[in-house]
Amino acid sequence: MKVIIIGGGWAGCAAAITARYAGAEVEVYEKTDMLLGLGNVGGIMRNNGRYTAAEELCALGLEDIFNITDSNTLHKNLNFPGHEHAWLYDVIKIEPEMKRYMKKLGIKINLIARVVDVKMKEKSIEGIYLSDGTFITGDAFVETTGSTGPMGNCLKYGKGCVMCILRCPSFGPRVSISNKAGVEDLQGEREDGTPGAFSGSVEVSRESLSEELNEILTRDGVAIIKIPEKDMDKGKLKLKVCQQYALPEFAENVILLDTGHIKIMTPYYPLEKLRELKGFENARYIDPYSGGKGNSIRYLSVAPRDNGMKVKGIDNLFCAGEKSGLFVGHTEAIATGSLAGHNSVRIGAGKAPIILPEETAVGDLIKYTLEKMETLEGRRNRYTFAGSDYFIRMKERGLYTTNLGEIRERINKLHLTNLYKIKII
Amino acid sequence: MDIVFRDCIDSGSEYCPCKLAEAGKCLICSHLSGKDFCDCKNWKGVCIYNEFIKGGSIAKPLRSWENSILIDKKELDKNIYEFYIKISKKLAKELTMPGSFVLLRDKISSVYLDAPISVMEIEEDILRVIIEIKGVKTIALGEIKIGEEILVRGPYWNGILGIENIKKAIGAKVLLIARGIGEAPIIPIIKYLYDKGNTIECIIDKSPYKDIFVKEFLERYHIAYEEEKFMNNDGKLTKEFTSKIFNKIDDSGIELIHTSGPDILTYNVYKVCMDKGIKAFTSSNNAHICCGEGICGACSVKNEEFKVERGCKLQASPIEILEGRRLL
Repeated sequence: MKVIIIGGGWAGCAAAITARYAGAEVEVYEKTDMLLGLGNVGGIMRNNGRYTAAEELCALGLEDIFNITDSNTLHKNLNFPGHEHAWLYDVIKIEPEMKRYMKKLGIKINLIARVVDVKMKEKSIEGIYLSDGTFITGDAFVETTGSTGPMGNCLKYGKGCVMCILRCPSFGPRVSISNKAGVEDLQGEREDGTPGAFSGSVEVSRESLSEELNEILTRDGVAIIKIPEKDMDKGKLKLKVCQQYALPEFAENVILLDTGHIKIMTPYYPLEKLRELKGFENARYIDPYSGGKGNSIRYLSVAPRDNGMKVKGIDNLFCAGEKSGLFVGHTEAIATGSLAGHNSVRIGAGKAPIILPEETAVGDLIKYTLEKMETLEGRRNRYTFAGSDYFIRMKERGLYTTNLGEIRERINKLHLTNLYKIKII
Repeated sequence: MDIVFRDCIDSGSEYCPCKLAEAGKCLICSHLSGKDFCDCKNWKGVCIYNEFIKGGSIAKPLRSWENSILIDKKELDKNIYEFYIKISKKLAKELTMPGSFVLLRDKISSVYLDAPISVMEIEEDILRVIIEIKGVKTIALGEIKIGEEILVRGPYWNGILGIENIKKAIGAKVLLIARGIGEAPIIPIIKYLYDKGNTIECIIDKSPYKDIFVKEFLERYHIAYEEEKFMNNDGKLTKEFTSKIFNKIDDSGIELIHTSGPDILTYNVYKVCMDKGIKAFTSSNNAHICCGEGICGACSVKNEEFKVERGCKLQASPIEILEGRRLL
């Protein structure tokens, strides 16, 4: 049985890994020359409820993935406004290591391979077409193409292409595969009803910051610099994807995190203004390259799905990551991707898909997001273990904990320990 | 037919975005054809929407006419002339790709007399074309004398359907099939393929003329060619021609077949060769080119796949264009 993963970001990698664990032959098709997508510029793990989710996923059988992110961590247990015990992985080292791990598992990775269409047979996908016309058949398909860009969307709903890590002009834009299979995409919205939202942070090269700032960041992992009153822009918070960072502290300060690159927790900040701050005199953006101008636009291509991550209306198409809801973050991508990959094999083997119970944070987020997406208010919200609406819910429902024993026991009591390691075929 | 890609020959050029984009009828971009979100299945390396918005949401200017001089004119046979026209170096550079053509007209006629003529050869700033005197437009062209002015509008590029397959061919075995006036536009193809180390063979039907008029080029590039009558009066391929094609496929392992003649020739060659393991078929684009800018509609392709699209810009394989033609 062959599972085809379309899109090699965190969600796609997680799906490939669980589909492989379950015994399927797995092929990943990724349009760029790197796996992990936005994971090459993100790096924030284990902050707030993500800690719980990460440990749940480890108990479900994904400890290898989190061993990789943990062992490439530059700073552990950081606190910054609104966030506790964040771990920051090194965005420069993570991709090659993940790729090596996946290859070792026997997953076939096809880079610079852009999927542009499908061939349907009634309500099933028979195969996919690459941009050069190559046809590839499969038994089950997982779409993790994300919801960011391409350039036309970033222009219509944002400030134009700002040359982000997805590099659409070089490798070609993503194509919504569920849409090609005949299922209409859903969109997230901003408060004023505009479709999509700006990505939440930008990165400057560490070499471009002052020695003093470098020292603080290397030592503490975080630096907080007050923004002069005249330059504060609290309206900007509304534009952001990452509502967990939409706090007044993020408008009043430039918050820097050391993820290998230096992350600025602002959707964009004009370069000239940034350079007026102490220590930023030579600052330059490295992601997006035009990070002073704007950021990529996301949430324009979400597929309707069920709680087993199957796309509604298609018998053998699953989705994960941003493609499956208004999620934010790597942990959320891994959480949805791993379930999608696992269920793709179950369906292929004629078994009922797993729906993770709401007694787990992972299962609850998947279910809660789906419910909320049905409402207008819900489509204007974002869903993450790390903050905003869902973290409040996590705490209210007693799902948030950093107690490892408690998390393991939670999964064990539900008979889900190492669920993803079980060979299905 | 499996997957059908559509391309626009002008996409990404200095003539893109064009009037079609302005009217919400772009061949490629979903935003510029009435949709709200990107759908880049046919993306060809440039965001047309970005070009359009950043260019002030208006089309790029149309191609203009150059006042040129007919420097030489030879009568090759009855009703067939070879023209040598001195054009600007800029235009000459833009006409070197296979499939290039221009619109030609004498100085006093109205714009409706612009005649689409394939480029046979560009040498420095000399454009060499063959003109078959056939209708109102070409009759007027035939009357231009050496030393007189001639209007040249261009560059246009969509003279070949499936051009990507010609561009991709490196070290391949290619069979070129040309009849009559169709001999002229195979010359840029021969040059292009020759430069990329392809092996080229030709079968030529000289009718309705007494002789093959591209011998000079065939000899220059050492092209092995055979002569044959291609079709009977009913459009069916002659037995001799069919067996010549089959022999070439069997003996030389032909990978690409290009036909330069009427649509019926292209279609019938495809039909007899479709199961022979040929990787790609390409052909001359026989759409009736009038304005060349996607505006007038004379060139419209109407079939199941493309509904109604502008043949002067639409790039697809000849089979995708010829199959399933619609009457409605």
